[in-house]
Amino acid sequence: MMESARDIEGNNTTFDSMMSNSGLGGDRKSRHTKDKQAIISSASSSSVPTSFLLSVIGRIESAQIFGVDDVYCKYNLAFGNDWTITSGMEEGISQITMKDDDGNFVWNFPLEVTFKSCNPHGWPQLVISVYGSDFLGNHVARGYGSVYLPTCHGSYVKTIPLFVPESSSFLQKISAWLMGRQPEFVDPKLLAQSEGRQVVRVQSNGYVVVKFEVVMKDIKKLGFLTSSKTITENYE
Amino acid sequence: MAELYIIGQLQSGKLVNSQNGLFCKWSIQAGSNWKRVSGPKEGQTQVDTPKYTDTAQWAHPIDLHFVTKGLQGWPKLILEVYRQDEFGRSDLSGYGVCHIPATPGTHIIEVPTWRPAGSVREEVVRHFVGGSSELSEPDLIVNPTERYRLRTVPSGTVSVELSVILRNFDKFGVET
Repeated sequence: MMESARDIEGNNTTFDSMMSNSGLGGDRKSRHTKDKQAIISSASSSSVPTSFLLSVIGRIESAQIFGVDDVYCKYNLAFGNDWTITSGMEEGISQITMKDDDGNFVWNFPLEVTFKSCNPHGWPQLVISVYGSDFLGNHVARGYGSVYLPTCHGSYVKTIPLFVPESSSFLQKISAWLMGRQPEFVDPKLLAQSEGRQVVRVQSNGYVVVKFEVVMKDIKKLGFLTSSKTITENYE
Repeated sequence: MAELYIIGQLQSGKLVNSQNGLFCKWSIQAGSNWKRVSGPKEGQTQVDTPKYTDTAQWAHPIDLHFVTKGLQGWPKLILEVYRQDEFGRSDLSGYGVCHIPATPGTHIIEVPTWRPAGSVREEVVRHFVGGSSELSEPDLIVNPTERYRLRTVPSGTVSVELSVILRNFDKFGVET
């Protein structure tokens, strides 16, 4: 929350400084017309927005994964064609953490991203992949999970189940054990797709806790109803 | 035309006393007024054999966009849960159906599932060997007029999280 507040403040100061610069440069009249134009343009843009913004700030807080020692996590954001990222990182990698006495892994890894879109179809998904090293020092996949970013403003705590893919045959299971190469997804974004999932065999082995704060702009002006008051009250 | 966006996940399935892998075939059915603009309307999840819990995790994304001219035939989610044993054989574990919520927002839906009960002999065979009775016409899952002919056994629950976004319904005077 602090971060976003600072961001907004930062934008304000640059805007102010721009205004004062233009004031210094030109005479009063030109500044006045400029202001007027700015007001008009902002007014017209606010009445007919063409796209909405979805801003998500959050933390990948912690995880419980059974039978694993030290792990790091990687996040990817998967979204449809109508969506673009206006600020923030599309993917990130956390530190390697060990577990505490209760078996918790703590990453406390910040996540800040703003999307722009005109169509809710292809709503962004957060795909989390957890890797660790086995006793030979090879990096192996320890869990994958995915979740849709919330479609309504508010703060959320999401518990995302994790699972690892399994070898497709007994023979491959043995060779995977011997070679120390466990199966993993070549592209974790596969998890954000509905097609092709029927051929995947997995074993679920833990979960990740992620906290989100979601802010949206102009989605109501575009006519999209994302919440009804009673429902959000119940949901909270 | 009014628009309906369905965004969410087929999250997990929980079965009464089973050590097997579970997967789910899903489809979304809507009346003739409804037109699907984008997104797949059916699919099949991964097979999860949970290691430490009794809940199979699917995390299967659903993202659909409908436009409609009328309210009749509001979309339904139809679920067919199958179990898969260690030899890779799969048989029916349960059927379920639920309506897509009509209020905008995020909904967590627990769908109870059922399967047709076989004769005593069939149930004993199912317990030891596997292979369960299935509906010959999957239409029976959604058809309320033919259900009375069935005898069923409860078989677990499926958990679905759906976010519903509506657009332009209020323009036609429809309150949601």
